[in-house]
Amino acid sequence: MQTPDSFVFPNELHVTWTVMIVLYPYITGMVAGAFIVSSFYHVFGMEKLKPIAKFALVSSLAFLCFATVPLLNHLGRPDRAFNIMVTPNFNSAMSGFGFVYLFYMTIVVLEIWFSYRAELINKYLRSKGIVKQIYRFIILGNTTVNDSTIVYDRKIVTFLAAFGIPVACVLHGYVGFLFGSIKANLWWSTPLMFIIFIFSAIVSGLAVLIFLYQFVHWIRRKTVNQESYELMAKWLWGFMIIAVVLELMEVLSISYENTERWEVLQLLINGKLKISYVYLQIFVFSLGPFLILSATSLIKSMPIKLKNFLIWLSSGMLLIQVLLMRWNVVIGGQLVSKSMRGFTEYFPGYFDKEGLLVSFGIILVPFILLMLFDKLFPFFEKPWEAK
Amino acid sequence: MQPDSYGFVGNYRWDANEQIMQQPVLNQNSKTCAECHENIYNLHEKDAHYTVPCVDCHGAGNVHVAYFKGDSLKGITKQQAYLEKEFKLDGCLLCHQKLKARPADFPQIMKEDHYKFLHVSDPKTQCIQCHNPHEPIFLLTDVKNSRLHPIVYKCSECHSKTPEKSPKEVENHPTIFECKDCHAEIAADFNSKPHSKYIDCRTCHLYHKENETTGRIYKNGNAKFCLLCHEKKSFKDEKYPPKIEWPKHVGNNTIITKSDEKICLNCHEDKIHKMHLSSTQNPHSVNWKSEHKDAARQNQEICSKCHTSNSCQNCHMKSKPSSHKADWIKGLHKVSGAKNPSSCETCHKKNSCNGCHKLDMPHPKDFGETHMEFISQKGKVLCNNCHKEDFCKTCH
Amino acid sequence: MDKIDKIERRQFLKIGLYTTAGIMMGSLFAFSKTDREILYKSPEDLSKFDWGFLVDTTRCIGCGACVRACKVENNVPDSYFRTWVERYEIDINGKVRVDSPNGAMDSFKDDNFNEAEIVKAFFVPKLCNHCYDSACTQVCPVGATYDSPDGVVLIDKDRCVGCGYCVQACPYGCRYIDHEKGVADKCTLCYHRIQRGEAPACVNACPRAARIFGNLKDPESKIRKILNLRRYGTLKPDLGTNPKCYYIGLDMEVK
Repeated sequence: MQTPDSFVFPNELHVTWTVMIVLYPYITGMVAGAFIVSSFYHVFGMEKLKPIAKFALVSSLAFLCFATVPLLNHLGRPDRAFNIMVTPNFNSAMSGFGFVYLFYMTIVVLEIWFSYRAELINKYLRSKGIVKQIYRFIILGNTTVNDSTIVYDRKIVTFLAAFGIPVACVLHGYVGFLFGSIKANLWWSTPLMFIIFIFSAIVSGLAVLIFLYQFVHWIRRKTVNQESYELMAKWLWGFMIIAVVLELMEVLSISYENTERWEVLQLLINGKLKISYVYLQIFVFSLGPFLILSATSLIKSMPIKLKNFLIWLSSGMLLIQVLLMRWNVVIGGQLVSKSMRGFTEYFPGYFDKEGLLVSFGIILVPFILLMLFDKLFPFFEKPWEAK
Repeated sequence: MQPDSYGFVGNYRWDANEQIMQQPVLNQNSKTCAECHENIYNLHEKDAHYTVPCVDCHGAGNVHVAYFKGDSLKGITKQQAYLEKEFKLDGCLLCHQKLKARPADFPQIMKEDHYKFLHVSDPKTQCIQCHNPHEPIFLLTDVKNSRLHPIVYKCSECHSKTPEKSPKEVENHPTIFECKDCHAEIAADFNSKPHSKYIDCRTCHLYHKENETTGRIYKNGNAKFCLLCHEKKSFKDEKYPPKIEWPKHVGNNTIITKSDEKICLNCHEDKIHKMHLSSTQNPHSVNWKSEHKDAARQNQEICSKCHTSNSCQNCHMKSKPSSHKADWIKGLHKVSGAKNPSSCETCHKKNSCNGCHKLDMPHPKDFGETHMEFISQKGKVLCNNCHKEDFCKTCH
Repeated sequence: MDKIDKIERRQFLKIGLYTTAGIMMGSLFAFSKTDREILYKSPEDLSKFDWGFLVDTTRCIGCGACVRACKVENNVPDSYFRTWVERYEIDINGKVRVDSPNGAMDSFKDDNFNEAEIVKAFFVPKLCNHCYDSACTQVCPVGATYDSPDGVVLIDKDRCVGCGYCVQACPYGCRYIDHEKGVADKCTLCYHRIQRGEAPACVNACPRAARIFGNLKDPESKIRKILNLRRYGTLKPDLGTNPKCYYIGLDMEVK
C-alpha cells in the first residue's frame, strides 16, 4: 500500500509468489527431514530408531508425491512444466529442480521397495484375487526370499540411504539457495539461507514423525516405543536449537552490520512481520517448544503420559513454527519493496486458486495418502523376519 | 523434444526473436502524419510544441493511418478511424500543470492563477480558446533555428521567497545571469513601462533550456501573441487588461493580418520597451546589425562561440529580412541599397541588380561622365524607374 | 528526436544494404503494409547493434505520455507497467516523498508537500534496464528469458512457464506476470519497432526528448555522443547487473 511516506514500485503492488510457494518448501522440508531421520537408522545404525525408520521413509514418499502440487498450482502455465527438463538453463538455480526431484524420487522409491520386499512377498503369498495381482505387480513377480537376498536387500537399502542423505540435503538446501541467491531481495539474500533451510527441514521432518507416530498410536490405542520416541524428541530439541539460533544469528548479523539493508528490514520486522515473525514464530512457537522440550529431556521424574503429551504438543508447535518460518521468509521477503521505501501487502484470499482453502487441501492430502500407504506397506507391524 | 531453433544462437529458442519482431507497430511516427497533414505539421514544427509528437494528443493513430492509406480496410469503420482530439483542459494540464518537480524553465500554470493573471472570468474556459495547440505561442522565429543564448536564471528558481540581499552581497553566490545583466538599458526602460508590473522578460521572450549552460530564446512580436491577452473575448474580463476587437481595431485594413510581425509595436512600442539594443554590456555594439557582416567575414569562428553554425541562415536564408515588406521594391530598397550595396550581396548575387535595372547598381563612380552615352543607347525609361522625370533638370 | 532519427535511419539503411539476405527472409512473412519492413533478422546483422537507453531526468516533465504510449503499443495489462514515472520531492527538512500514482498514467496532480517547503523535486522515468548481466536472464529455469544478439533482454512467451523467479530476481521491479497469458512480461525496448527503424513507443512519445535511444556500438549515435559528454549514472550499480539504461542527473535518493 502507498502511504504518504512509503513507495513501492507499481509492479510490486501484487505479490508474485503466493502461499503456494510457502507450502512448497514446507512440504519438501518434511520430505528431506523424514528421509534423513530414516537414514539415522539405516546408515548410522541407530537401533533405537528402528521402529520408526520405515514409517519415516514412507511418509517421506507421501510428502514427496505432493511436493510439486503447490508449484504446479502456482505456475502460470503448468502445461509447460516439463520445459524445465527439456530446455533447462543451467545458469538458473531453479533449473536443476526437475532432475534433483526425479533423482530423489527414484532413490526413495527404490529404498522403500528394497526394505519392504520381503514383507510384500509374504503378503503376496497370503492374499487372494485382485489384491494378489496388485502385490504381484509391486514385487515385479520376483518371489525369491532367503537369507542371502535379505542381506543383499539390506546392503542396497543402506547404500541408498547413505546416498540419499546428500541428495535430500541438496533437494532442500537448494530450495534455500533459490531464495538466498536472489540479490535483489534484501530479506532473502544471504548465504546462510540454505543452511537454515536444511536444519529447519530436519526439524519439520522430526516434528511431523513424532506428531504422527504419537497420533496414530493414540488412535489405535497402542503405546509408542518409548525409547525411540524420547530419542527422537531429543534430536528434535537439538535440531530446533540449531535451526532457531541460525535464524536469529542471521538477523543479528544483519542488524549489527547496520547497513542500509537493516534500515529497511528493521521496519519489516517491527512492522508487517511483527506478529507472524516476532510474536508467533520466535516467542510462541520457538521459545515455547524449546522450553517444553528442555523440560521433557531434562526432568527425569516426569510422568510418561504427560511427557509424551508434551513432546507431541511441542512437535505440533514446531510444525507450525516451520510453517511460519516459511511464510515469513517467502512472503516477508516479497513485502519489502525493491525501492527500499515501503512495503506492499499480501493476503492469499480464502477461496482463490491460490487461496487458503486450497492450501489446507494441499497440506492435508499427503496425510491421506499416508493412510493409504499404510494399507500397502504397514509401518508399525513387526517385520516378517522376526516371525 | 526441444524446439527446432533452440540453441541456434544461445540457450534459447531463436524463432522467438522473430516472433517478437512481428508485433504490429501502433504508435505512429510524426513523419507519417506529415505525409498527409503537411501544413499542420509545418506549423507545428515551427512553434514551441515542435518536440511534442502527434501521438501525445491524437493517440496512436494506427487505425487512422491504416484506414486512410487503404491498406487494410477490413472491419474498420470511418468512425473508428477518426482520431481523438485531446484538446481539453485536462489534456493540456498533463504537461502544463504547475508542479515543483517539473523543470522550472518548462512553461507551467496553475489554472486559477493563469485565469486570474489573464482576467479570464469563465472558469470553464478551455486552453484552445486562446492557444492553438499546433502553434501555442505564435513564435516568430523557427524554434529549432533560433539562436543559442546563455542560460537565464530567476531568483525564484532556487529561492522560495524573494531574497533580501542581492546575489552580489552574498559570499560565494553562484554566478547568475539575469536579463538585466546584459540588457541593462532595455531592462531599465521596460521597468519604467506599464507592462513590467504584470509580466517579465520571459513572458514574451520564451526561453527553452537546452542543457546546463545554454538554451534558446525567442522573440515574440506578432499580433497573435499580443492578442492572447488583449483580444476581446466573451470569457475574458471586459476592461482589464485593455481589450481590443480584431480586426476592428486596425480599421478593417485587410492588408494587416494577425501574423504580421511587430504590427502592434508600430504604434505601441512605447508601452513595452525600446526595441534597439544599445547596452554596453551586450558584446555587440548598437549598429551591430549593419556591422556584423564584416566581423563575420573576418572570423566566423568567433561567432560560433555563442551562435550555432547555422545561425546565419536563420536570417539570411530561411526567411526574408523583416525590412523586405510588400513595398520594399518600390520603396526603401534603393535607400539601403545605395547606402550599403554589399548588404544585398549577403543573399543576392553580386549582379542581381542588373536583373531589373539593366545596369550596374548602384551607379559606377564614373557614371557622371558616362551617363549620356548610356541614355542615348537605352533611353530615359530606365532612369524613370528611380528618378523623377525632372531629375535631369537638377543639373542640366 | 529528429536528429536521432536521421542518424539512426542512415545507420539502418547502411546495414540494410549488407543484409539483403535478411530482408529476403523477412519478406517471406506477411505483415500489414502500413508497417515498415523488418530490416534485419539474422544474428550476424543483429550483433552490429547494442541498443542502449538514456534518460535525462533533468528534462522529464512527468507528463506520462511515455506510459500511455507504452500501454497502447504493447497492450500492457491494467495495474502493471513496462515503464512508469516516479516523482521525488524533498522538503526543507530533508524528508523525501516518492510517488507514482498509477505509474503516472494520468500525470501528477498536486505537489505532496507545501510548495514553498519543497527544496528539490524531479521526475525519474523507469523502465527495464536491459542489463548486460541481467539477473532475470540468469535465473530463468527454462531459457525463456534471453539476451538477444543486439543486447535486448527478451521473453520467449511460448516457453515461459510463469514461475515468477525472474520477477523476484529483477532488482528494479520491471517485470510482472501477465495473468491472462500466465507468463512473465516486461519492456522489450519495443523490439518490433526498433527492427523497423522506429524509436521505441516511449521515446517516440516523449515531448521533451528526455528519453534517448540508440546503438551503443555506433560512435556516431546520439546516445554515444551524449554519454561521452555528460555525467551519468545507473540504478543500483552495486548489484553487478551492469544496466544499460543510463540516467543523467541521478540523485542518491533514486533507487
